[in-house]
Amino acid sequence: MRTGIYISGAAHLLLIAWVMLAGLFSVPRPAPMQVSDVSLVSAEDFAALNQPAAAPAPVDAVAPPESPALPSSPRPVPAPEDRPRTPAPPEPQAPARPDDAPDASGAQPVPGTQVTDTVTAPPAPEVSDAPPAPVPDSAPPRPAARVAPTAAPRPPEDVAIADLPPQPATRPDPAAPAEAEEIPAAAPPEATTEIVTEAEERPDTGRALASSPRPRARPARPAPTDTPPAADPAPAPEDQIADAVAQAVGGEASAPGSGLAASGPPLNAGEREGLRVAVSRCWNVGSLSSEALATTVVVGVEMEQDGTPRPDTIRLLSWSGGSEDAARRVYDSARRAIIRCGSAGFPLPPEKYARWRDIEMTFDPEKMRTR
Amino acid sequence: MIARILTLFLVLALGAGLAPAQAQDGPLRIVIDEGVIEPLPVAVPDFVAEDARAADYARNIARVVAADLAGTGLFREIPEEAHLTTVTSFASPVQFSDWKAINAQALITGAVGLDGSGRLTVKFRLFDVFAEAPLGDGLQFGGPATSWRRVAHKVADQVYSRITGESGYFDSRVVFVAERGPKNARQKRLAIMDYDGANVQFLTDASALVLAPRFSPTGDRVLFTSYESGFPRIYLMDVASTRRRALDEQSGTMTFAPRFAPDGQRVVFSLSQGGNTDIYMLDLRSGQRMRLTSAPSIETAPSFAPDGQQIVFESDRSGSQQLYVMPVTGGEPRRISFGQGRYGTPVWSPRGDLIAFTKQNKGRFHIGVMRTDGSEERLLTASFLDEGPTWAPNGRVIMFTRETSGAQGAPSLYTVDITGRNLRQVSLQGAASDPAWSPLLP
Repeated sequence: MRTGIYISGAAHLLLIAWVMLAGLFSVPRPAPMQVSDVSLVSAEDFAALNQPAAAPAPVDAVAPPESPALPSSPRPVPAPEDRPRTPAPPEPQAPARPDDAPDASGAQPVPGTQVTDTVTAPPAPEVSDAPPAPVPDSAPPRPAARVAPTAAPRPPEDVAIADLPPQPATRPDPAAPAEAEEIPAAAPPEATTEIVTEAEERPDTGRALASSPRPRARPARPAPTDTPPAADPAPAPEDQIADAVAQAVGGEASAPGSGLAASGPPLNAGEREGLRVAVSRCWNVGSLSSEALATTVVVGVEMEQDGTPRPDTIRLLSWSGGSEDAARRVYDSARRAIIRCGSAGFPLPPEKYARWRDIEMTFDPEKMRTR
Repeated sequence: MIARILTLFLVLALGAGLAPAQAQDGPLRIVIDEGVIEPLPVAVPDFVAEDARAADYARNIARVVAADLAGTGLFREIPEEAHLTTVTSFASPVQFSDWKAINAQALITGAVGLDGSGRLTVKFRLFDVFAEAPLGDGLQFGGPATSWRRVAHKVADQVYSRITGESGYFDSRVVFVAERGPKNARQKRLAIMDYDGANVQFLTDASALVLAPRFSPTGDRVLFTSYESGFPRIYLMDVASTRRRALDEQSGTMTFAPRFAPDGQRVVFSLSQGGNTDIYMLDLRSGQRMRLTSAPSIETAPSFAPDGQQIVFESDRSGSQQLYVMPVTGGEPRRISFGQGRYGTPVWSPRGDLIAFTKQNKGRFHIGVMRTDGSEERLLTASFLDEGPTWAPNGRVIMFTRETSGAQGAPSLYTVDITGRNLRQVSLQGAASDPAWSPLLP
């Protein structure tokens, strides 16, 4: 018992001694030296520098900065009568007056009296559908008929809507060549996940490259799984752990599977990522509404052993964040993605088929949402 | 004892680490949170003509449907030259393999009939090619042959709605100011057209300058400002008959910037008197006028929220032109724009979630959108002069005026998606400005 007291007392004494004496033998570190360039100044120059600054030159002696090029801005702010876009260049003295009246021929008809109450039928619609080419800015304006306004046509008669009988079975013709399905007719259009509006666009710098970044390294692909599984593969470390834990707790994590229930080692991160990327490449959200882009759906699908999905098993399991209609649109887009990119088989390890025979994919377009 | 505790910790730790692996029992679960944004490839083969006289209609209706869809930027039409098969019968089964081969993800088939009275019958079906299943039921539209464009727009609206999940906007019209002549002597007339620039009809002549037409919620009436009396004054016109009448005529005042309330029975507008401009509301049934703002500053360009409970307008009460929101019953306005530059011509979205506006900053004009509380401001365009946004009926597209610079500069109409993509010029001959989009036609 006393030994402890002695040790504690000695330690405290040593500590007190160190605190009191340690500072005596320490040398303060020198402050870093600051070095700066100087120049010699003569007495005349020094006096000149101390003179009060001269008054700035008159404003009119300095070329004013050029104002932004707005030669005919139609929105002069101060005048209240100019708030509604006044007609092109109004006269300041009479802002409310319209421009000079058009020539006599144009003003001849009096609109108020020439208007008839009868509604004229609209002219026969043009059959040709070729839209007129956009008129360049320099093109002369189209001459307008200077006549009294004709009565506007009533909206054409409402169209009646009727349901059609259901479409007959539309299965593909079995005689159709199957290999044709693999031939894309055209390259897919350029896709993007970012939106750059016109207001955010950088000025055009021509064809010159602003920089030449090196291509990013390709992400590591999942380990190839085409090698046949060994007859008696060495268990992975995690499997050993699982077995040990299962044995310890009496569970069945490593119990031999029947071949139908999920059993064996689960998909590793690379294999899961490969599937995720494969589906993402075909998931086109460009035509979804804003509400749909805020809707998350869970889609279930059963897979064949060759990695292709069974289209008739694709189903909507649940959704959140939007209406049922919005969920249906997201589900349609997800279904298209699964079928399109799964037609050649997803990159999944065959030896783990029991693990991915049933897949639940959660499609969350939140990142792609365009507010 | 210590060995037992360590063993217990080890077992628990390993058990926790193994939990995810055990969770993989059952279906494999993955999360897809990335995709691509690209137009959906759609095939629109010519509709089948059920009558020889309907052949031209069958082709033209299909072309208008394809143009409507492609014009949104959300769809990409696969050209007919790439089609591997021809649809010769509306009732025959679809050869999906032929459409998969050209990567058509949606297919529209249709048929057009024309009876002896000149009445068109148009029916169509929409298919999800890769799912080999129809998207919705087939529909049939009927109408006079002269309305074939409207029928085509209605088909396109249905297709758009079924794929995107939101209503279309193709069967709608736009009232605008048709302009002619040089800048210093420009003539302006009210005109109306289909949303895509077709079927232009004039509503007024060029004897008086007109500005800022606005559709009623039902699309049958138009408010506008005219200088017919020498001063700006607001008028109400019946579109079908072009009859019009002045509203709120009081000497010594100027009225402008009118806009309908969602109920169509009230009108908000600006009234300038004695050098001060404030916002008023007029009841069209009783003619009663109510003052909504009372400030020495300039308040103008009011626009109702779709629920009719609030108004957004522009004011320079803070020293610069900014946007404010106030209850329609009156009350203190709340400023919602705080960015650099000047804000004006606010318009509330039909969805109620966004406000479109014109912004002037550093010598450039922009069309932008922001949340109704002023957050998430996003500029969609930039040019020498962009102004006067108007919303498509579905709140997805904005039409506005873009004017080019120089002595030969002229205004024209453009559309842009609210994401800032798909900026397009409206196909229209001649100069045009001040567009106002109608609601969907019945």
